[in-house]
Amino acid sequence: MEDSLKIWTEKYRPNKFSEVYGHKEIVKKVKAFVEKGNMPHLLLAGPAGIGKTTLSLVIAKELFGDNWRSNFLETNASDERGIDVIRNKIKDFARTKAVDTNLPKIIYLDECDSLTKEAQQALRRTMETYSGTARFVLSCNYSSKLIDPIQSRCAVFRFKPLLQEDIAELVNSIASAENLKVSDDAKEALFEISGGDVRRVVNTMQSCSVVGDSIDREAVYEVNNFVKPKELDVVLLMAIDGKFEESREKLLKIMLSHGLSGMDIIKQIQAEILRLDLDGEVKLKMIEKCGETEFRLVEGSDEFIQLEAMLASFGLFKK
Amino acid sequence: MKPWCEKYKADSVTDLAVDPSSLKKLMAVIDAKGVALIHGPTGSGKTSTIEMIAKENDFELVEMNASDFRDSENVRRVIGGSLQQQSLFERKKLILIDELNGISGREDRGGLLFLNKLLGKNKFPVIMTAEDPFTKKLAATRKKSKVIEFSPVETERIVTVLKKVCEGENVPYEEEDLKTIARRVGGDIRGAINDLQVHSILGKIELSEESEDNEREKEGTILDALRLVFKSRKWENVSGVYDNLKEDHKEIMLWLEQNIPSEYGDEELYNAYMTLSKVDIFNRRIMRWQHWRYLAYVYNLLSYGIAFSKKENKKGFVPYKRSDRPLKIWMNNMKTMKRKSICDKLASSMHSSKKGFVKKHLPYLKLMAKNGRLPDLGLSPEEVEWLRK
Repeated sequence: MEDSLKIWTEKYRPNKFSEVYGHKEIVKKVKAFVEKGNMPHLLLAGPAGIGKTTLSLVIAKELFGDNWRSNFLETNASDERGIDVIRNKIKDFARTKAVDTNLPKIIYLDECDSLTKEAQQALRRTMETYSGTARFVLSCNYSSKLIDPIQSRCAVFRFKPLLQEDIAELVNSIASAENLKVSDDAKEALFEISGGDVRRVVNTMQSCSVVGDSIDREAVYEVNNFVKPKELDVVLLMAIDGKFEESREKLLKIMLSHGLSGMDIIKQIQAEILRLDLDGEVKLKMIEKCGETEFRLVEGSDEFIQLEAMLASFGLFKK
Repeated sequence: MKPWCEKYKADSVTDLAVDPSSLKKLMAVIDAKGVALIHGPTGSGKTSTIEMIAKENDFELVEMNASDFRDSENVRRVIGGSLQQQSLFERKKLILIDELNGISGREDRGGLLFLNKLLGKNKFPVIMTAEDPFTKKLAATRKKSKVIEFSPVETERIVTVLKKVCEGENVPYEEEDLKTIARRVGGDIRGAINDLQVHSILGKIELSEESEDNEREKEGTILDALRLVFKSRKWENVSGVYDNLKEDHKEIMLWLEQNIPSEYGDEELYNAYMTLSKVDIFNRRIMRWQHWRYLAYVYNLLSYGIAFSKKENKKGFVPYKRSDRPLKIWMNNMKTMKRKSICDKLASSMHSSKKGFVKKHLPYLKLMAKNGRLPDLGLSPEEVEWLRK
């Protein structure tokens, strides 16, 4: 595959400890573990797009060199969150010794916080049973979602959002590799929209680059507006304004185009209400309705009817 | 005096309004002393054909229908013997088992099982008829038979028969009227003759305007029901308003859900949707506890509840619309299938979960595709096209 045609998040994913941006302290410690060849189970906690997966890939590549693929198992808990994954897939992999080396295999479990409690219990046993042949690297957004016995079996590393200078360094290196001109205010904008999420920076840069060889502030925001999760605030404001029909139409469209269930959407609506620029009392009433609606979603059978009832109730709160 | 449909029954096989190719298949089975299962709508001539064939070929017709079909003993008594023995008078036999659909799954089970056992060992041709042969109940029987379809009788064919009847009965007719009758029955020739007899009771054909268009008539009823519920606040007007609809409570809810905003505003709107919300919870309870009594409350709320969501009667004409939500959901599912296949292909290569991929990568890929420079990801042209849209 020609290099220019690759997805940049893969093309520029670091392969060595020295290439990782930011997280200097964490990298230093993990590197020391790897060099000694004796690594505990790791728990990497932190927001999305910050380098948790990358670090675990780097660990595997540094440990096993070219053979890393056969000694590394990557499983995503949000796709396969049941106890069966732990029981079958992971055990099968952990049961045998690593190829060509005496080092333990690496099992990377992404998004561990979405594992069920039962699966976590199973995982805890597996971690002990196979500690002779495998090491687990777990990643999650919130370590509090994991049961204590798992946390206590791991060396925990908490990732912070990347600093502006780390992001700038990344932007510069990609820009020079791709012959891109990135203006200073574009760099600032990239940092601003990223919220410390490297993946978002790299994806935004590639999206800008398909239009032209230079990136300015406007281009960054344009891309960001296109990809931003959309318009729930608009739905709520229309409902409050008494524009019920437009509001429900839009809600259905958002749910369908993003493949969201009623539960997904009610969670987002609850968060969105708090952010609305409205009188506190009104927002409080809305929250109350929102909670009632969530209850009815669980008790009822047609999610959309419950959401419509909520939108209709918001119409009574207008001034 | 015979009813006309008996009186004017065709008197030769070729007279019958049956598709010749189906007839040929049937004759082949009879010649081979095999087993056939004929199916087709009411009045497509299934039974008449068999009777006619028996008559013309001088077969002894041994007939059995749903009402005889109790248990294995009964089946044995009626047809068991004749299936396997030559008849006394050395006449050939034809065995007709009519209206298989009428057999009750549970009570007549023994009979059906016994019949299935006999099939294949028969010494005489066995012909069975059913309106719908593809029910589970008949699966075993179907496997042992040659399945032959009788299609509904064509309108023109029916008209020809009706003309003959009119001439025979000295009823003056307009061709148009006969066509109308023929069209309304949907291929049921017996029904057409019966209708003709009813409509010409006064010596000439008089068609009333009703039921000109079946589809529209039914739509009219749900629309009328909606009108009553939305416009009126009178208890009597609203009671039993949904009783004679073909729509079930779920469909009625969709209609209401779609059209509430075009009649109600503000407080009324809120009341009406709160009512729907409660009904929806009842629906779930019905399913969870299988307590169908709740359905009574569902209908009460859907009629009185919606009607009394308003303070006063509504006036004016509002065109009601069918809910397009199911359609939108369906279309979206079609779209999501593409998305799913893209996710399946790419998520793991980007070290991401499928859910995460949709959020973290897909929007950027869409944007790149829109701008015509998508990286080479091994996607099919249709998938790239999906991204571009």
